[in-house]
Amino acid sequence: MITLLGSATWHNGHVDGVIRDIRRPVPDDGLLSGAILRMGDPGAGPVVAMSIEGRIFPRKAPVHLHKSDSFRMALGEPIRVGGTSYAHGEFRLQQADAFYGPEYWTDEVGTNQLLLMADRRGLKPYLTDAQLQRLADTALADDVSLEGVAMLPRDADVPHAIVNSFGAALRPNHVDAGFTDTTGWSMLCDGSRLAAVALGHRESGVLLLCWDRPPGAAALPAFRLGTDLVRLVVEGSCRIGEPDGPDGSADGPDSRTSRFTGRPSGVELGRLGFRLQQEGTWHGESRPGPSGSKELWIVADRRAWPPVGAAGPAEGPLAETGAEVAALTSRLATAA
Amino acid sequence: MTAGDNPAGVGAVGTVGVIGAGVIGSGIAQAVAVAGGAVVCVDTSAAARERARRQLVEGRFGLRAAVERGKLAAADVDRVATRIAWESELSAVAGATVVIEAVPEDLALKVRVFRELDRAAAASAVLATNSSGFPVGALAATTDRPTRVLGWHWSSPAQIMRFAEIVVTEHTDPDAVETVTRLAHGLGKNPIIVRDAPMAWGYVANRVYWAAVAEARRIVAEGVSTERDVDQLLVDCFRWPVGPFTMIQGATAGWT
Repeated sequence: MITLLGSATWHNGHVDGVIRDIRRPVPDDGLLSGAILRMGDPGAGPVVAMSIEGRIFPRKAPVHLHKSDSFRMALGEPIRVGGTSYAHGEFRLQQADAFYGPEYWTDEVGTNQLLLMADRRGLKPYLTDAQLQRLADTALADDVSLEGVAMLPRDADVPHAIVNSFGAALRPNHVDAGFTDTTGWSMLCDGSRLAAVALGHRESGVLLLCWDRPPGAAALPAFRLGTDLVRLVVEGSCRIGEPDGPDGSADGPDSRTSRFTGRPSGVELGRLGFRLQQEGTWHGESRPGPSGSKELWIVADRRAWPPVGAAGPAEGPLAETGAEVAALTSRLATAA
Repeated sequence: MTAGDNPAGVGAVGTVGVIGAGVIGSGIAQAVAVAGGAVVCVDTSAAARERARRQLVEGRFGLRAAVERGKLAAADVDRVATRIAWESELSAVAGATVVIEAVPEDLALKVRVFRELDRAAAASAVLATNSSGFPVGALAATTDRPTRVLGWHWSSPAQIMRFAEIVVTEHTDPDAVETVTRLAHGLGKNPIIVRDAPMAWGYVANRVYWAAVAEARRIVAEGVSTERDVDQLLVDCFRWPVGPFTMIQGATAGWT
């Protein structure tokens, strides 16, 4: 179950938002302005932060490690980790138990990245310097987003692994990739390109699906997934319909209009727009906007993939993603 | 100059350990050996050791090239080469006075190496990292001798460039700094001491350089110019030996 730090009004199991600077006037459009959330397993599921809010995150972090695999992607302005700079849409997958940093993000007041910790119990940073560790521990104790989470100790065994479908090499404790160049990703039947990444626990960890959907690609049908889903538009836009039929169908005169009002149903998510979708609820059909869409999907527990459609098992591109994920799972099992 | 004919007496510093026989590590080993010092160069890869041994003599900046440029007497080639012992185990640096780590720029790897070096090297030995920018304090804190750990940032080709950025933390023992700066002077380098910054990557040289590279990349991305032309403009305007894009290529792939 997705739980948000902060309040939101859920509608049919989902809530929509856009990552925007809350210091500036925020339009009264009913959308969240960023989100810090827990998802998946109530004890060891992921935690995700995507917001611009200066008081929650420091601008810089010294060299440290986490007891969890993690994922971070620059949104808007670049971020820096060690000697590497990441532009908008570029991301870094970092292995658990490996030191990295220092890291800093360039927005002067807060974070401008999506940060995912595959296991929320690994959020505590472990530093090499005892003095800095004490400062970090103090800050952590004041972090309300971590209430009730028992952090893993430094010597805990963390059975995490990172694998990807597009051949990016682990070098040797992290992977750099991004949405800038998607030519190495798998081509799906509708012309979309897809990259899949497994991280976190070897069996029940997170699945990331990176989509590059061209303009005019057929709509992905409505579906229901047995785990929580976060969907973020990195570039372009997409329209997600409202599944107001009992089986998740849009059920209007056509799939883009409401059966009740006849008006366009659902929501148009632009750059940095996101959807949070609760486990087991219907997600409406979706299609890319006029310039296509590049999207990141975060699936809390990869064992729940693929989703089911109104007519049964997923078909088309969603079914193809199932094959990609099965291949990753197989590689993880072989490596273990 | 004859190899070993160095007024600063590099040999008096004692054996120098070098960890990593890549482009930089082998260049450092060569610089010390040419100046008359004894070197133990450790790399777990037999292929890397063999490649380094070959490059030492035949490489673009190797000993034979130094002879051709009049920097080394032909009769000294073998003598210099034998000053370097190529080893596969860290324990080989047990007798070294200064150990310079030059493994790939991966923080987790460097942390592991420093932990192992701390056990393998003599308690009094100075451990120096050739990191391009990772905070030295973070590495020092992984050892039981933080006062004997400092940064010695080299540039490529190490056997040629005078650059020596010595990075010290608030805990670094002045004696360790003195040992390393004396050695650097003896190698013909120009050591400059800078402070470690725990929250920043790049010390001084790389922070300034990568800021320039970032702007150069933006210029190319905006279609204002090409990598080749940006390089040429900076060479012509500021008398840089090479432009930023060529520098990246050379620093990562070597200058052969």
